[in-house]
Amino acid sequence: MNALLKNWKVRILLLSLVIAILLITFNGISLGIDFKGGTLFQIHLAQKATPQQMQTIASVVSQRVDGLGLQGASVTPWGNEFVLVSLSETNPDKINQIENLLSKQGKLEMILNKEVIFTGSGISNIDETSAYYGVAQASEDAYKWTLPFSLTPSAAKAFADASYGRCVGDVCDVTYFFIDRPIESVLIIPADVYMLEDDALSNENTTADELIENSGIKTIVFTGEFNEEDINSLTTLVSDHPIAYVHPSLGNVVDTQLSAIGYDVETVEPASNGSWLWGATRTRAVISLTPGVANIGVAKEDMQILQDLIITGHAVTSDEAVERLDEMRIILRSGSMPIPVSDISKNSITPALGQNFLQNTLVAGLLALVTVAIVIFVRYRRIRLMLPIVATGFFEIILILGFASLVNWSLDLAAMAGIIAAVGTGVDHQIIITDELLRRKQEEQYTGSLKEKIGRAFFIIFAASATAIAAMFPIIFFGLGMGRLTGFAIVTIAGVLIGVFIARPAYAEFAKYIISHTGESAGRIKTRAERRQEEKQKEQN
Amino acid sequence: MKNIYAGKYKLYLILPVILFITFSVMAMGVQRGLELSGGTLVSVQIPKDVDVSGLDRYLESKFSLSAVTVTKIENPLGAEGASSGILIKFAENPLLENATKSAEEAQEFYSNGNNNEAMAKATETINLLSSYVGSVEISNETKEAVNQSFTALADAKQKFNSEFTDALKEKLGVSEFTAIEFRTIGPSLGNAFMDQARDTVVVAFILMTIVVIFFFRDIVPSLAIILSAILDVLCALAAMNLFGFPLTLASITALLMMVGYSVDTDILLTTRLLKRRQGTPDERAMGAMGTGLTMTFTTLAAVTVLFVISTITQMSVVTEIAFVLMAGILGDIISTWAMNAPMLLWYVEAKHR
Repeated sequence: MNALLKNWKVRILLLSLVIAILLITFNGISLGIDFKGGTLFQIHLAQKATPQQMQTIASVVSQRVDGLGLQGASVTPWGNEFVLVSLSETNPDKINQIENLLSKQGKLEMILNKEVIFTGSGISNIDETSAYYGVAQASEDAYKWTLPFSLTPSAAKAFADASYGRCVGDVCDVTYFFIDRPIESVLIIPADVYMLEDDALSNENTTADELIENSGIKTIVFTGEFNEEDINSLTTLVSDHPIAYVHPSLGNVVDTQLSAIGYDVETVEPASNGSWLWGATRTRAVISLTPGVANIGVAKEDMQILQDLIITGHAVTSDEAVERLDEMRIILRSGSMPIPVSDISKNSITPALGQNFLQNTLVAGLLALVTVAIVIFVRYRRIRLMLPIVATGFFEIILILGFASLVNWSLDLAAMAGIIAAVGTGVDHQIIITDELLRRKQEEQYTGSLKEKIGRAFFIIFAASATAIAAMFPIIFFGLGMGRLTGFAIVTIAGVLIGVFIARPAYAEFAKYIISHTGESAGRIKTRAERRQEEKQKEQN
Repeated sequence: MKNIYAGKYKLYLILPVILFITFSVMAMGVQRGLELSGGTLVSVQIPKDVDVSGLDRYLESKFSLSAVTVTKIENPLGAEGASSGILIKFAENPLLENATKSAEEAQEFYSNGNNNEAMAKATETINLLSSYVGSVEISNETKEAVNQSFTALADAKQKFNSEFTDALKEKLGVSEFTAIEFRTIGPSLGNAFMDQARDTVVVAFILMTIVVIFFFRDIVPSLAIILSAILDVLCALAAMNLFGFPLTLASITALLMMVGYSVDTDILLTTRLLKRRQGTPDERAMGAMGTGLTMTFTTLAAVTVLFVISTITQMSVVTEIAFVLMAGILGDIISTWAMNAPMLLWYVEAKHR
């Protein structure tokens, strides 16, 4: 036994095992969303993107995901129209928030007096560390969020020009912030809702009419039926404004009529501040200028160009205020996507289900190993031969897991399949080695040292392993199925290599040791074929 | 055991020839799974237990869909409360499929600078979708028109989904679903996946051929190994067709994995037959069979355990993989010992004559 432990091939296996166990213990193994639970988003862009656009989009998506402070998220651009995002979150509310954030193109527009003064690209910096940044309770049922930001010099100049002198006494004009303003749409608001809009907007520095005017979105107040004038303008507008956003209370009443004209009708719920127009126009904030900002009493040449401004908004609960602030910050910081998102498909696996998967896979793997042990025992009738084969298979699993830990590869169902494939091949090859060593006296011509026999076995093993790797390589090369099977292919290849260079040579030493020891002393091990032959000879005698 | 290769071993070749033909015919009938054919998978979670009988026919006639399958799934965790889930799968609605195709062509023409064609395709798309989006005034500007066609497409899909959801609610007598998710793989994406899968398999076989030729430096035995692998794949595909397992990314992976296993026995056989000198070739073949069948039965036993456990625990991906492996490895017993072995023996015999 000591001789065996001194053999360098065995030592390499033992050393590798120690390293693998250390890696697994201290570096850990990251599990994929199949086992850990998590969500995979598949973002489908509305159009094919150029490689540069793909880069921009992937970076926008990453920034948005990072902005929510999600752990373990990965963003992968795929082809020219997909971005894959996988993260460990599975809480449906949070997932909806993420989906909502990812589905936005993120086009910010600041409008003053019906003119777009600057867009998202005019914002140069957002200072989260500023004392102004955050959420504060404004009154019993109102929370105020504030977001300080800086403008680029050209945007600051445009803003200063536009706002110059726009105050009468203390009453100043207001600026409107929109994200993804639906300029291609028409809004249909029922008269009774419209009446209450001014009340709902009273905390927001604006009125229904002003909001409509500044948003630049054509709005029709619906009084029970469309009059001739409405029909005329709807018919003219439909070409450039093919979407009609309607209040939920209108529902089927206007749906058919608008569809007949050619509108795509979508229902919009009122925003949380109670205003329907606020939500439908996608207004994010309405902020009054101040006499100082408007440079009142300063000659135009001497006006001060402000680069640092603040966006503020309200919400009813503090959670909502934080969510709004987060969204605004994330979208402003990440910028807008060059191409809008067509749809997002998502697939969540809850941690409980993942845990279940993991347990079942482990049970299945263990039972498979036990089955292998039984079959091998039935074939060789020797526990001494069965044990090393099964043990080496088990060691290989540990080595592959150690490798996964080393390269931080997260294990998913596909990778588990890869482990099974590699270990299965390994067991096959150990059977080849064992049989080569056992074939001795049966064929008298088949002489040669143990070393030669092992060499012959290894020719088969190398050829078979190289073929298996050749079969796996194209999966990686073509990235089959958006890379979902890359894990399988990599783990299989790694497992086969580990097997060929670490596990199999050591096993050959074990087998040599066991066979030569038992063979000489306790009578050599016979294969069933040999035994039958002996029986036959006895019969003949 | 009698040496089965001592007599008229060439007769064995009749079996693989028959199987080649039978399996090829059967393999052609394999259904493509959602990800390779394109189509829609709707997963619905319902807060109460529902009766789904007749749902497939109802949906087929109401939305003129084809290949609708409805599967009811029990909650895998057996969660409290009588909730149930349904999976509905159907081929993409033909109208939307055509519209998607023409919108993509419009985009293609536009990016190639062929504005007239792009405009025509965009118009065609929007006209196709008129039953969903009504008539749309199409912009004179090509870029805008192409965008409009995509907008129309997205809207039409959304509308279809909401109509579908409503019809489902009505039919099942449920006012609100716990969750409903539409997962659509566009036919173009499905086809792209299919092409990719085919390329992967073809290149895998080419690379394997090169590797095998490199090791044996002999064309006929190398081709015999590859032929044997092809028969295994056909056998697995035929079995998939017979037992209703679809061709998916997972099962394609399993096919390649199975090929990796099955060439082990062929390489063992070829090495023992061509590279050894002791005994007669048929004795060597017989010897190789002893080792080879041990390998095969070990793998087969392990895979059968995986299949049974994954079926019980509803890990459908693992079930798919295990099934393909089982079928392929069973086929490998015939392809190695009734095809590859007689072919090699014949080859050795002819060479020495």
